[in-house]
Amino acid sequence: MIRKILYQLAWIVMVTHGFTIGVRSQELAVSMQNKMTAVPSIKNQQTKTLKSLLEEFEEKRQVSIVYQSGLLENKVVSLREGVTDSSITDLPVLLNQHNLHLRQIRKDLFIVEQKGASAHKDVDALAAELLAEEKNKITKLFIPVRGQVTSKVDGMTIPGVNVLVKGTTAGTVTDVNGNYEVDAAADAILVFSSIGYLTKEEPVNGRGTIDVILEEDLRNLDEVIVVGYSEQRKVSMTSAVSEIKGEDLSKRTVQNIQQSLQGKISGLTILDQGAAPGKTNMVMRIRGITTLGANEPLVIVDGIEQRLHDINPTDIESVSVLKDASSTAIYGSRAANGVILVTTKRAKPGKLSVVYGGYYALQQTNNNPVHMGLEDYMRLQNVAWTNSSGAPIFTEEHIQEYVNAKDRLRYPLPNTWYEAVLKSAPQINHSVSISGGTETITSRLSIRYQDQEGIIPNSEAKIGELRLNTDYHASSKILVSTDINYRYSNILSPINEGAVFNNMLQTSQWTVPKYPDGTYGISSDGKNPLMEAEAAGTSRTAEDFFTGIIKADWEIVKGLKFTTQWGTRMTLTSGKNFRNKLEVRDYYDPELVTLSRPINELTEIRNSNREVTINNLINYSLNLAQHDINILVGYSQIENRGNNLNAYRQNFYNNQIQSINQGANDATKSNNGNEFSWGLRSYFGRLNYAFKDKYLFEANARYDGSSRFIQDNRYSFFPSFSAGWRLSEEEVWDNLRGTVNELKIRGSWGKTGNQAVDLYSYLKTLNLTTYSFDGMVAPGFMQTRMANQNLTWETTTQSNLGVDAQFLDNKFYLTADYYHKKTDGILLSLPVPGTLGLQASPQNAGRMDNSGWEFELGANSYFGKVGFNANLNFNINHNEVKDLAGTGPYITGGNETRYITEEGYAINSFWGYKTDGFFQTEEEIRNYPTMRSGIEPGDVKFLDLNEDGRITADDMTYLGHSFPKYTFGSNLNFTYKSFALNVLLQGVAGKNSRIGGAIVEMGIWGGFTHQLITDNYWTPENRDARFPRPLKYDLRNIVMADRDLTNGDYLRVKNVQFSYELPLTVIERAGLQRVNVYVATTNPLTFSALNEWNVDPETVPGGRTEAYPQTSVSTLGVNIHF
Amino acid sequence: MKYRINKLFAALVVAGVAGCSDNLLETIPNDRVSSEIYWQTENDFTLGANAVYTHLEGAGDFTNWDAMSDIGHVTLMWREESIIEKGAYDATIGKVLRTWTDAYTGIQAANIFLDKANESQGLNQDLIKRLTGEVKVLRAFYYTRLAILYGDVPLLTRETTLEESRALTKTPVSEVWNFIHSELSEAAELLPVTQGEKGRMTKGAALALQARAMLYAHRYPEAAIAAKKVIDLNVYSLYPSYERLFSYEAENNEEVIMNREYIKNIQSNNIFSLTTPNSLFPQVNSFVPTKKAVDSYQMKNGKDISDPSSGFDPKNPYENRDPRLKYSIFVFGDKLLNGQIYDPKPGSGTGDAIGYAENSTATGFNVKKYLNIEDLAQPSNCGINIIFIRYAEVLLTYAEAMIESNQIDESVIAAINEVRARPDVNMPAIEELRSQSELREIVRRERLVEFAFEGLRYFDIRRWEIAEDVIPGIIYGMTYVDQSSNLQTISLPGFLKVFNPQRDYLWPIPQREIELNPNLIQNPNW
Repeated sequence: MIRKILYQLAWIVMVTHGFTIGVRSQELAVSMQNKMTAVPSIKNQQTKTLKSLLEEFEEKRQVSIVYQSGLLENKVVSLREGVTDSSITDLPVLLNQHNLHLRQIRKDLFIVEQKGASAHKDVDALAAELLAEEKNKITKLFIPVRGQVTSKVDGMTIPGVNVLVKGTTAGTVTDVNGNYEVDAAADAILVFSSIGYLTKEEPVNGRGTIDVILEEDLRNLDEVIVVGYSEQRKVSMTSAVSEIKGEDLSKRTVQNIQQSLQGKISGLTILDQGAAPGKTNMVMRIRGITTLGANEPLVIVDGIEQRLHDINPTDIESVSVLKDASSTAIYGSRAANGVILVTTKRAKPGKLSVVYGGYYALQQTNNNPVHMGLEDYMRLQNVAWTNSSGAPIFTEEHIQEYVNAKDRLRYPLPNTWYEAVLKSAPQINHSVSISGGTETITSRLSIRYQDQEGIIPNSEAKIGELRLNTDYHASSKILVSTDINYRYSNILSPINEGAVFNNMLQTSQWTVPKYPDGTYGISSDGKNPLMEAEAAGTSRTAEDFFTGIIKADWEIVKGLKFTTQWGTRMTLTSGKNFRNKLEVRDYYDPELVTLSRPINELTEIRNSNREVTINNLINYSLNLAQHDINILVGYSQIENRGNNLNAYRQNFYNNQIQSINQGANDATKSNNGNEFSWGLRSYFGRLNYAFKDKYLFEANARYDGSSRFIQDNRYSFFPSFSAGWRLSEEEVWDNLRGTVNELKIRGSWGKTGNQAVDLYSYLKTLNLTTYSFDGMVAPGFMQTRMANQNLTWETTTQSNLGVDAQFLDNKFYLTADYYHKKTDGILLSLPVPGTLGLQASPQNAGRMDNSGWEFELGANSYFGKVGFNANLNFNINHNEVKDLAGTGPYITGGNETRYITEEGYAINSFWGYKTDGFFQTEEEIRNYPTMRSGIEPGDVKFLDLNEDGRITADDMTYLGHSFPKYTFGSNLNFTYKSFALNVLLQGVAGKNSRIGGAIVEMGIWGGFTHQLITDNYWTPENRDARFPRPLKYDLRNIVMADRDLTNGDYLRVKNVQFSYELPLTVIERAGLQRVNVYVATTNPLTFSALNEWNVDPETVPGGRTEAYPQTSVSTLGVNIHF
Repeated sequence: MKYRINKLFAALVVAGVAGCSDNLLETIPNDRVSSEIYWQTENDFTLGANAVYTHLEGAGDFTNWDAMSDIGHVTLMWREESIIEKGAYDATIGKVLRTWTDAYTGIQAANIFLDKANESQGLNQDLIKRLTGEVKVLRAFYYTRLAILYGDVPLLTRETTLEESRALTKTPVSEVWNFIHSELSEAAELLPVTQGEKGRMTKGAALALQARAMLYAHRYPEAAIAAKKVIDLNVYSLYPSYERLFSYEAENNEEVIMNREYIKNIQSNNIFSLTTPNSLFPQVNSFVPTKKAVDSYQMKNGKDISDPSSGFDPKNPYENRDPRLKYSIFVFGDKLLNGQIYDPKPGSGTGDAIGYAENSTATGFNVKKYLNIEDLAQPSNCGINIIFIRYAEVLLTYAEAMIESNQIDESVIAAINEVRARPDVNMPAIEELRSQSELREIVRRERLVEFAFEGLRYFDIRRWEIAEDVIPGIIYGMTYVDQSSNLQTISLPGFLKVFNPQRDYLWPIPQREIELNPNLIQNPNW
């Protein structure tokens, strides 16, 4: 009754003073604080005027609210998805959006006022009046409390944390710096909560400043994971998906995203084989090698298929790796190798936030092989020549003269290319992002520029890119998003980059790289890698990459949502390869031409590709008591068109005139090109059912049609099923919950496909060829490849069993999976008899299995003030070729490195001879078969395994894996006050490596000869040597055999980053909100048997190490929030 | 406003759903021709026949035959030809498979053409007949290679399907030779004596190939008849200059009967780079001549250098020799195409010094044929035609066939002498009839020196069954005067040529072919 009077009184006051007062009741519930969110989800929000909200609040809670008139005018707030009583639970948060807060005067009386504003006299007076009239006492003294919230993990401040006075609705959220200010009673308790962190309560105890450190909630129950075409709550997932957040990818200075994913995700094997700036040479495999052909995972960025290296690392919100069939089947015919989903960052409503990130890095090769000493090399050559032709090549006087010479221009050292060609190279990167917006429009703009020089001359990549992600909240039910991404890259490399690295090793002894006057020395093989890099010409590639996506979500009725998305991806590549004409003359005798390339040549390349994707989805979710049902049906189509053109001319006026029209306009000019198109049409669906959030079930299916196959084989069906059981939700678990607070077991089964087959393989087609008669071109047409009309998908059937557990109140977690993957109908070009006279067309034959274990362990703890957060992933994969359809084995490579793909072995296993040291005596040679005649002591003894008295190909055997069986990685984070240290360890095991080429060939051809061979080769005096007797131009002892294989296991410190957060007091003066500086280095430490050869363990396992090498990067960087 | 937004949205939805084009999955290639619509016009057949020519062997295979014989040595020891040279090859070696597959690829292309030509109706049958003749010659050429290398091989005369190719059996080589003979007789009937476009197969090509094939088959009378028919066409004669015979100016000259045509830049070969001395273009040479090749050239006076009365001076070994020596082989002191002097002596300091680099000559010799100054700038972009059969071969085939048939008459001597009497060769004539065995030696040596490095020697020593005598052993190279005025002869003791007469007269059937088709029986002792 009294309240009614108050209401009337207030009404009068309002009229006379221009104030408004409302009504209310009851206690204010704060039990919902966990669900409060500082930043309402963008999707599906409703908007309401603040005024109506407050009225609702007064009505429901039976309290009175006073505020200055006009304060609430035109103020609109957005409500969280699916929350109907937001007016109560989220009120402080919603008010905060308008920089307002709620001040409690009495149990049932609140004042709404501008934050930080001095109390309004009139309002206070009114309140006092009201209070006086009711004669109630203010029992508690309210004091302002300030403070900062930081994360225990990295010491960073946390914006958007809900700060609530326990037992009241009073509260606020932290600003971008993690600062908050709230009025609270001296004996109140503040409750701090934020998604991803454990909620913390802090008694005020009369303090004016309370800084709080929040612990990360390792497995937040509300954590959502991006899965195919939607998101799912992590706890209710039944499939094997690993997710990594964008910020965890940013600790390492990389050339591409693949590098930042390396070692981070269980089941994802990434091998970095080195590559020049702007190029990638990464091997990326999810759960091993699935098929004999294309093994690259499908990469989807915001719903559109894309290349992983086309993404700006700072734009990444999260990366999901879908591993089992349950998660991938919804991508059907392209999913057999796993799927990687990338989601880019979007803006949140509120003040514009500007972030700058920049770094300067220096790249250096990880390894530089060390050449044998001068005299040692000359003596080795003498032994080799003597062994081969009976006489040494250098006389003793010559050796002495050469070794003692001072003039290394006239007496050059055998090989000084590593010093001459390689340099340390800088890499700089700037990125800026601006994000923010209103309740109706939010937008995030991000810009990045990167300039990376190569470690050889004429090698560079410049990348500039822009992304604009905008969301229009057209109404409470409609959200329209447009994303635009443009990127250009300009890549420069020597015209024959391969020759630069090849010549350093294989063919270039005994010359001066460059004489003082700039003249290039030419080696005995007519080569100079420095000249190849500097003067042979350049290859320039400019790529324009564009994606545009428009997407609309429409909540038709509650729980039923329609989504349509149109995306276009365009790539235009322009290449300009100019081969210089050049002439090199002898430094001492300029009359003598030592190298001549009299013709310069230009090839211009234009490749364009356009892909249009349309996705239409209907999503229906229903919550009936304890039943959660979610249904997704969708339609998708992809249309891809492209064409390639190139043009060639030669004889340009000089090497600077590089326009195609300046080349000779005669018969030497030529052009070529081709075009292609393909399409994919798909229907798919998903059903999720959860009972009590405890028993979980999911089914997926996709019906995929591809233009790559003939009509009858065009469509295929890919189903999957999975189920999970959260044991920890059962009552029997109550006693265990203190130790194991979350435990889920799950299993899945499903099918996926692989359509990676050449276009038009089913069509019998004729190709244009060229012949000539009498000097005139005579075109011809002929069929070169057989057509296979029966061609269809590869099908991979995968089963998965997994367990997710969290221990000791989420301090530790474990995820373990066992999988078995069977790939049937592998598309491979089965060898066809040569008598067919046509190239093989792919056929569905063969089967390969992969099975394995994945473990992911995590911990989050404190040692005093040192925060510690770590995870470890460990994978075992067993690959076995099961069936080659009666063909095979496929043996590839040769005496240098030979692989076999054969039933019973892992794909591309090493294959060669077993050996038993060296023949030591003539008698031993007489009594044992040899591969050829003329074998002498000191030659390798190859074993006659089949004991037929001959050494033939039949004696070759399995020698080891070329792809790792075990992969592991560990990410360690330490924090202490404002300092943070991140260490990434990564390694593989169960793999061999075979180095080929000059580096191990003991100077047989006169190439780079490694110092490891010094005095360690067989001579009658040195019979226990590691290497056989050297022979000139004779590879009899360098035949693919067990003795040439090296253990390819390695463990390396992949990255170390040390960062420091500048104190707020310092940066505030500069008007900055947050400044973080860091230093980082990649690959500082490596344990590997290949170290002795100075070969990187991630090099192609059977390679010649003559490609652009792996590099280490040392970085100094800064991130600034304005 | 809201109404408008919803309308806009509805439009978007309609567009989204309607975006499904019906022929999305019906992609038709633009960059190739479906065989369903081909073989309709005369031009289709002309172009179809042209394509069969492209399967003729290229410069690499052409030059490598003799590299594996006694007159050549493969420079790089890891190359497959080197492994064959060492006798260390087996049925799995790539070259054995590739040679087999290349031949059958040409045969399949020819068979498809001939099947379609048989069915062609309403087209100019004169054209179809001529093209049929050309394709039959080409097919016979491919079969000749198969028969001489592998012996019994599957004889395929129409388009082969995958299923058929997995169940084929070998046809006795005699039947293959029969087929080659009859096909070439038929082709000779279909083909004109000269073609409007030089380089197309002619009546002369059919008959000359028939002569060669019959010689290979030891069917000497048939070889002699075929050769005589070529001679009697009276359209071929020897090109006056042996030195210029392999130059651009001599392309399609009156001596050329069958060749593979090339155009620089457009459809080029790399023959320069395959045989060049290392100093002209480093790192590419694939084989070099041996001492055996050089010693086979007589003295200008017609006497062998082993004849004490020949006047041979070991200190000036290249003086007064059969001029074809210096037309065919770079020897010490020759002028190179870049004007430098060829100096292969060890330690000479030039890029050709023995031991200087892996592609420097190992013997002190380099091949000169087909090396033209026009190609010096771009050694892998040569337009020079490669001659498979020239008139000199027909003459010597005639002579050999007559000798082996023991029908020795003046025409035999005349044929040999015609070759020796080429103006810039001008070697003394064989003046009198000799015994069959003497003449056999004369014609065999004449073939060696006349056709050295033209891809005939490897097959000649196999069909004469002398490979086991001439191939095995250490390789020798140049003889030179060292600093102490002593004569030194280069030898390669670490490298042994091997030939196993029980096995090596036939190549193995490629192992993979046997695995894919167990009906194919491996050749003896492989």
